[in-house]
Amino acid sequence: MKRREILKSLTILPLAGSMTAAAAPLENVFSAIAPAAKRDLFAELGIRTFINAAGNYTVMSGSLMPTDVMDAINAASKKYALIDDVQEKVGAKIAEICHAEAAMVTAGCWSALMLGMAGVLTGMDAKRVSQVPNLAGTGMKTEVILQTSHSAGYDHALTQAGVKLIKVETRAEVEAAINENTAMLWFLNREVHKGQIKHEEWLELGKKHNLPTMIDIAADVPPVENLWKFNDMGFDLVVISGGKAMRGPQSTGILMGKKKYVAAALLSNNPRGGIGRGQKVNKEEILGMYAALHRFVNLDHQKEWQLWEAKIALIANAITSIDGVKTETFIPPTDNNMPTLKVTWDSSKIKLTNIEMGERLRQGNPSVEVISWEAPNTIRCGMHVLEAGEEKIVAARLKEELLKASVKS
Amino acid sequence: MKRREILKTLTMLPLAGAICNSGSIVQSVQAAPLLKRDVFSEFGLRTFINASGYFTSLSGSLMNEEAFEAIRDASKHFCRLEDVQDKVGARIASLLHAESAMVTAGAFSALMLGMAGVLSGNDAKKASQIPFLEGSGIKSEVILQKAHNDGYAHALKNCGVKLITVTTAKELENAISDQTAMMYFINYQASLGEIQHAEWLKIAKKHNLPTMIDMAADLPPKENLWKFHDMGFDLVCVSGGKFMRGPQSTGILSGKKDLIAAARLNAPPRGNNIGRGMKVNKEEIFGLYFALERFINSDQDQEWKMLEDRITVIANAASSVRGVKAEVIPLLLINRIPTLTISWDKSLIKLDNLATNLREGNPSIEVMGGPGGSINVTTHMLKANEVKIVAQRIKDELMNAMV
Repeated sequence: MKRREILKSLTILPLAGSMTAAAAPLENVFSAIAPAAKRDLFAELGIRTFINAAGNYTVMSGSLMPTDVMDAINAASKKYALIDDVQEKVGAKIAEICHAEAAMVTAGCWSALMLGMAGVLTGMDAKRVSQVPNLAGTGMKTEVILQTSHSAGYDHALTQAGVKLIKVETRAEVEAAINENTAMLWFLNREVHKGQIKHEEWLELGKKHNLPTMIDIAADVPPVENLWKFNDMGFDLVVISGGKAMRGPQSTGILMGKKKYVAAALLSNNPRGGIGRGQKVNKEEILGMYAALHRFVNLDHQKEWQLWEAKIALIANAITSIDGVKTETFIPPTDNNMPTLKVTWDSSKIKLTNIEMGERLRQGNPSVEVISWEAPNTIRCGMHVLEAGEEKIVAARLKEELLKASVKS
Repeated sequence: MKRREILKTLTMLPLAGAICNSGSIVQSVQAAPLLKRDVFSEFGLRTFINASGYFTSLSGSLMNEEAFEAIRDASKHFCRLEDVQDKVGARIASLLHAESAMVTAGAFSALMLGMAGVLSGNDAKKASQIPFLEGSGIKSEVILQKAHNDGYAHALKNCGVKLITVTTAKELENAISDQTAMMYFINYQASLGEIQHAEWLKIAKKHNLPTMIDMAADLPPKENLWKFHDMGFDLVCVSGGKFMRGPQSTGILSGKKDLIAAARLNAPPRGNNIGRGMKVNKEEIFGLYFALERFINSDQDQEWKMLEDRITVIANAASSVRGVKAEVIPLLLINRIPTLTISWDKSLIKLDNLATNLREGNPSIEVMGGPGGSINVTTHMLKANEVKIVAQRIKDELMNAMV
């Protein structure tokens, strides 16, 4: 077909389309509207996009969903299904992968904390579900015990189910704090190094006093084994974020553990009313979360790790020769346990604060986000959030800004 | 190119790709891509033709193509969630005649966040205290009409407030005290209450109290999107995953600038607040915006006619069976869209469980069960090719049950 002929048939096509539509009253009217020209949403709305060399921060929109996840979301969007069915079936598969009795997808880790807490309080009692978070006079238990060092802001999620937080430091204090109002013992994995009581002892205390235990491992994969480690250890409930290293939808998380608690948590969750109704996850998110988990579990994690190290080497090589610059690999021990590049500079040789550095990288083109708020004359770069090839841009931009701020000798 | 040559090239392509990969450390290590998956059959999930409605338990509505395109585009880049809420919120606000707007995790979430904003104002400490209002200095009561206390008001209670229900305007005036935080109105129950919108607003204004209206499922008509702002409600809550066909887990809170700003203090990405568990991601925010835009640009008269035409097809098929009555019922209070009710003479047709039979048939069809085994059918959630299938399946079931 010649160019001219092609043009001709293109002109004819829309007409043919509209004729069909007119002949079929059942046709959705929407399909008659000419499809909008391809839009660049971010540009259209004037929203700054950036190369993420920081990490899986909620404010920075978490992580980017890989193709597998987007495909699952796309497929999920095509048909109706009962939300309860989706939670049940997907939950069963997630539970199987994570060595749990049951699991459900929530609207983030915070939501998992709150719903798990609600489940522990209410059991399968619908009346109680409607009473949370107003526990006074309901007969529900009202206290949760945790270590002071584990009170890092996320425990606030538990209070939304109505409980009071009782903070302790020693084993003796735990035993003294336990009473007939104690609903649960809570543990924040990230702060395990700071607390006196470690996992095993915490679980032993829970068992001794017949109290359920919950552990928050929000950002604590990799290692991938953490997905099942705490279920294997005996925690009754485990909560984790879906939108971080697992790269599921940013607004998802998982609550998993004992069947009786997960089943009870589902009662407080949408599609029912109750305290969790506002924390909606749709079927696309639930199936997207599963696809992300499946992908993550099947990843070659050793290769991933090597890839991050190679990226670190590339960036470090570009800047270590600059006078006054020091680079090292830093691996956070518990949460976000992946290699990052720490760059430190001598402030007498490079006149730039860490905050200024962050701002200059942010204002550059392309915009780059790094961790610039942790220590003076230091920034840190996460590798696991970089898309292919972006490490070269990060290297070039860092080099440029460091050189620009170097004191000429 | 001959077929054989094409095949050859196809075989070569992956190989060429692999060479590029191994030469570059920058390639992200991916597990072998999963085969194109049918997620529903993989999990043994029953999918169905939805002739019932956009109910949350039935997974709401199917997103329109624009919404999904927006989601796909949004998934490609990192950006700040606050930026997305700022910019998309401003666009939504201008479409809705509101000062400001934000996307929430559903209408229930909008109710909670709007309430929390009213309670906390611009005070982060107060936000962190919700829902435990005692001794915080935060007001603790919300007034609504008894007829409006339908279950969704539970969202407000989740913020710690007490619901004070009234029937008359006089009771309302008496109920207002220094503890009154807000006056709440639910649109779909309006006709059941003594006090209508305008009077509600007038009394609120007199006492300088903020007002919120819940119109979760009250589209169409699309004019409702701005009507209540124009009337003077301070906060308006609507669902995004129903007639608008945005992501099922979204809603909009729109209204006064200071109240929306306060609501955002109670919402993610900020923590230490009641809303942190109600996450919406950038994909959902963009998806909802595109769905809204498309909804506003659609020709609703033409669409209404389409829904009626579809109803006619199904009604004709059903009533062609002797003893069957198929009629369009008057618009309900909620979900005001053309609805067909189908009933039959039990002496001619022995059928008690038509809704179940349709659900268990192939393809599975969801309808609403009605009194005496009758069914209600709607057509706004049907795809074009499903109308005839629904008509035929209903007719077949009725025919098969003829005495």
